[in-house]
Parts: sequence; structure tokens; C-alpha cells
Amino acid sequence: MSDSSLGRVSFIVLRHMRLPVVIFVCVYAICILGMVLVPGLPDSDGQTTYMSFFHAYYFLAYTATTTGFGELPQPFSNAQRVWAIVCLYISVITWLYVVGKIISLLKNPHLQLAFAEESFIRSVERKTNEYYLVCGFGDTGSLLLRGLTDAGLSAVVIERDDERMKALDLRDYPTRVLGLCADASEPRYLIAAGLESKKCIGVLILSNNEEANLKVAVSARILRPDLKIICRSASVENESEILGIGGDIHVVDPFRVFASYLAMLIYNPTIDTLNEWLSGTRGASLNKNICPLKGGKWILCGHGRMGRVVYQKLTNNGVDITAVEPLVENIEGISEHAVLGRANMENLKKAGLDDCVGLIAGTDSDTFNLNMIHQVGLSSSSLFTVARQNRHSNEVLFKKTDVDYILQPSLVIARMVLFMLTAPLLKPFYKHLLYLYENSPSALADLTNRLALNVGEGAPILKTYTINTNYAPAVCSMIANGTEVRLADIYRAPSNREGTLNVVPMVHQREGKVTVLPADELLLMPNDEILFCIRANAKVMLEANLANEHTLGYLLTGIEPAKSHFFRWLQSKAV
Amino acid sequence: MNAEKVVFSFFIVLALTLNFGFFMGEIDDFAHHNIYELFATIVVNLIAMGLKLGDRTQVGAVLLSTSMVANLQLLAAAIIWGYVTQISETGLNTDNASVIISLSGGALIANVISVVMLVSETLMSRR
Repeated sequence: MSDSSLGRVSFIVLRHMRLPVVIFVCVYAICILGMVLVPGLPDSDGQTTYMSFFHAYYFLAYTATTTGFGELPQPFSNAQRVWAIVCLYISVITWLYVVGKIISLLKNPHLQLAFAEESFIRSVERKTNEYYLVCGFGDTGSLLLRGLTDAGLSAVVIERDDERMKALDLRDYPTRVLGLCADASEPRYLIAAGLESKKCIGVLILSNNEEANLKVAVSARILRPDLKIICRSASVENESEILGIGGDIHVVDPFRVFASYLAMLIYNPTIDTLNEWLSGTRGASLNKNICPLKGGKWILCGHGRMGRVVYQKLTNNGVDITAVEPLVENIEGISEHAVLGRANMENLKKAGLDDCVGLIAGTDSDTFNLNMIHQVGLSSSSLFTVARQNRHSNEVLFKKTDVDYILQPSLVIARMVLFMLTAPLLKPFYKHLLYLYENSPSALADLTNRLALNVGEGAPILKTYTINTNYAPAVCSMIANGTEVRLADIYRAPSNREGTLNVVPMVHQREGKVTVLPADELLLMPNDEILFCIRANAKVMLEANLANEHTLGYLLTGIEPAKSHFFRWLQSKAV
Repeated sequence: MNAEKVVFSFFIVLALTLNFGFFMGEIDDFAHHNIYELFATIVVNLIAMGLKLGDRTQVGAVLLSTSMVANLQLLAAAIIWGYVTQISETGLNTDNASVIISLSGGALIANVISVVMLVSETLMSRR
């Protein structure tokens, strides 16, 4: 609970309510006093009666609020009626004024902000599970949150833009995502979002603002020296500064990630297909085979910040590429491989559109990219086109065009960060894939076939299981009893132990030693980590195998072990 | 086929069937309810509970708790029967007969849950 914001709430309320309260009290006092002093009707003895303070207050209570019960407790004298008229007008007006003040106070944006912050802090404090702090809810942030919540992870969001926060409220995430509209580069808000809490297990800094990202990263590191930080940064200078903060820190460069995806697509499409499929992209299929495209000439439209990185990367990979760029200062140094001018048909023809194999529409304007793809599509259909999609909201348009491949930088980053968090073991797997691609393409084909056969076409689930009492209590107790548990045993099918579940163990890690595609004979030990690629409907079964000792017992021996004390006793007698 | 499964399921299902048999009939007329059947129900339920002891899985825990509920209700019914027939002067009348029968009705629900869990677990393992 932060005293400062609570103090601020009461301060705002007091400051705004001071005058209304004073006026209210004065008006009531005058009215009540008048009512008490004005003579009433004479009683049975002929004595003039006066109203008591209690009755005067009672009268005013229903008059001021326009309820109007009438003349209570006794009929009024004419003098009292005159005063009642005066009371009625001034008290009703005062009431309206006070109520109006209260309503305008409740609508005060500062107060609303203070209330929102207060309730946000309290909700964050009440969180029981571990969570990631996401700074920046742009395209990348929202895509990442979708992935995180789908994977069962929890997150808290800080975002500056009010409109984006409203968007967060409207998202149908599987779990509720708390959000605060604030500038994350102010450390106060980082603390409000529970950065100092042990339950916060990582900060994901994803905004477009380089300076702000750097500041958040530094603040987070100072506040929590042990925290995992993943920071988006597109500038090389900032990157080295961020990495210099030290500790468990990763920088994601959207341009470089984009360029390597593009290189992967052109250079080794098989891995790209695998990656698409593992990421669960809708419509992704392992059978889709894009033939390698590295043979011919390529045209890259846009040689700005991202285009430069793409150009470098592709040239390094041996792709013959020509850039088309309207700004002369952007093509300094590569002018022999570049055409100056906007990417219209004329300039594209100049860049060699007729004899190239592919076109990358990579400017930072979706309008340009779409228009380019559309125009090129009209003239030649054999060309392989890649479009950069900058805004997630333009998805419908990109899907409609005849483009062969859409690369969305925000999606690419969101996926990459998600894999870093949910399946860190995937990185060695990709390294292995690259190695296979270069050395034994047939092994790569075998692997793809195995995945296609065992896990199938639908989007797979990637999940890391640790052999501990939390994930795999049955396996742990078996090992503790001295039973040998092999990797193959834990993913046998419980309906028939000769068969296997629709899963493929991809990576195994023990004490820092990583094995890609571990052998089935591998003996499991406590604290082993295994990354499984699971068909969606097999997850429950796999988890039952790990957690239910009866099932695991059957998988190990083919005989289900006795379930209760009595039958175990009987068995020991029989032997 | 597994001898353990046969014995286990036998007792759990028998507990349900006996319980149902005792519960059948007008709720306040003890002529429709046989006290020996109540006795058998209690014995079989106790045996079923004994067989369930020692299973460390979640399903095992819930199975055990349903048995405990059934036994609690049936023993309460038996105690009331013992009190009204042996100790109190009133003897078995419609009032206390309906209490005994309704307690056994509650135990019946617990036994139904137990059997449903047994069947669904068997179906889940698909062997």
C-alpha cells in the first residue's frame, strides 16, 4: 500500500470538498436555528410552541432533499411556513451544489487516476502466482500477452497510452491481465506494478521508445539485481548499453530478428516451415514446402533502418540483392546495388524486376508495401513476394493480397520473447536444426517427418517439464524408490504401453548439459528438464503419466501396481 | 483381467446396490426396509473403505472420502435405530423411521459418486 497515493486521494477530495462542506454546514445551521426560533401554533393551554432542534433537523432533512413529507410533527404556524419557504429554496440549491461538486470530483481525471493506481497496486499485491511485468502494450505487447496467457503465465502491464489501456480492458485473455496507464520510465510505477515483489519473475520492455526502454531496463536492474530482463532495442548503441547493465538480460532487436527470419525464409525454408508450425501459426503445416529461393536476384524496397539490416544479412548469406530507396542518404555506400527513387513500377523495372526471383516490400509504411505487392502482382505472378506488415490492424488487407509471405516484425518479436520465456530450451534445438540443414539434410527431413507423424498437423504445444515433485511427482517417487525410469517410459500411451503418445521429446537438459533429440533409453534423474512438442489433445495424458503413479507403474512394467494397502499386503503374501 | 480390479469394483458396486435395496420403499414405513439389509450395507461399505485406504492419487483420495461419507451416514442411521428400539420408550414409529431411511438415502448418493468415479476412471485408462 503506498501512502503517497492514498494521501493524494484524500488531499484531492479534501481540497475540492472544503467550500461545499462549509456552505452546507452554514446553510443547515441557519435553517435549523430559524426553525427553532420561529413561533409555532399555540398548544391547548394557549402557550406558543416552538420546534425542538431534533424536529427542526428532521424537517430540514426531508425538505432539503426534496422529499417533502409535509408539516411534521404538528401543523405549522404561518410564521413557520414563511421560514419553511426560505429553508426550502436555499437548502435545495445548496444540496444540488454539493451533489454537483461530488459528481464533478468523481469525474476528476486526477482522482480517477489515483483510484485506478490504488486499486491496481492492491490487485498486484494480492496476486498469488508468479508474473511478468510487461512495459508497453503495443502490437508486440498485445501479441505477446496473448501467447503468455495462453501458455498459462500471468502478466501485469504498464502502458502510457490511455487508448491502448482501454484496448487491454476489452481483450478476452484466458486470465485477467492487470494494467496501469502510466509511464514505466518512472520508477515509482515500476514499484507500483510489483517489481520489487518476489513474485515478479521478469520484466519485458517492449515499447517503441528507445530512451524509455533503456531507462526502464536500468531502473529495473537497480531495483532488482537478480531479475530477468528482456528489452526491445533497435539501435546498436543502446543495445550495448543495455547489455552493460549486466545480470540476466536479453536484448531483442526487431530489425535483426526480422532480417534473420527473412534470411531463414530465403536460405532454409524447411526450418522456417518448422518454426511457423511450432509457433502455432494458423494454417501452418509441416507439409507446406517452399523451395529454396537463394538462387536468383532479389529486390528490396526500402533501405531505411530495417532495410539496411536486411540488406546486410542477406548479402552475407550470398543473396544477390538490389535495393530501391527514395532517400539518397540511405543508400550511401551501396549505390551500385541500389536504385534511387520511390518503389513504383518504373523504378522496380530499373532494379531488374523482370529477371529477379523475389521482391521484399520492406518499407515502414503498410500503404506502400500493400500497393507495391498489388502492382507487382498485376504484372507478373511467378515472382515470390515478401511483405513487411507494420501494423497488426492491417492484417485483413495483407491476407487479401496475393503475397506469398507476410512478415510482421511485432509478431516475430512477440514469438521470440514468448519462446525465450516458455521454452528456453528451444534455442539449442534451432541451432541443431541449422547444423542439420548444413550437414545432413536427410536427418532434417526425418525429423520433420517424425514431428508430422507423431504430433500431426494441428498447432502443437511446446512445454518444458522438469522432473521434480511439482511437475512429475510420480516419476520422482519412482526414482526415489530406485526404479529406473527411461525417457521412453514417460510418453508411452496409457492405453497400450507398446505405443506412444502424440509427443516428441525435443531437448533434454541436465545440469547445464543440453541434448537435442534425446535418446529414448536415456535414464531420467531428478531436476532433468525436457522440452516436449505435444499434440494438443495429448497434453493431459502426458501430464497424467508424469503425475499418476498407477499409470506410470503400468507404463514401466505392463502391470498396474496394487492401489491400496490391503492389496499390497495381499501381493506380498502371495509372492 | 486383474484380480485386484475385480475385488475392488465388486465391493464398491455391492455397497451401492445394498444401500439402494435398503433405501427402496416408503420413507416412513419400516415394513419396507429390512434391518439386516442395513447391517449388510454397513459391513460392505466398511470393507470398501478399507480397500480404498493407501491410494495416494487424487482419484484415490476422493474415492476414500466418498466412502467415509457413506459410512458416517449409515452408522448414524444404525445408531438412531439402536436408540429408538433399545433405549427410548417410543419404539420404531414413522418419525424416526423416516430419519433412518433418509440418512441411508444420503449414503446412497455418496455411493453413487463413488461408482461414477470408478467407472469413469476405468474408461479413462482405455485398457
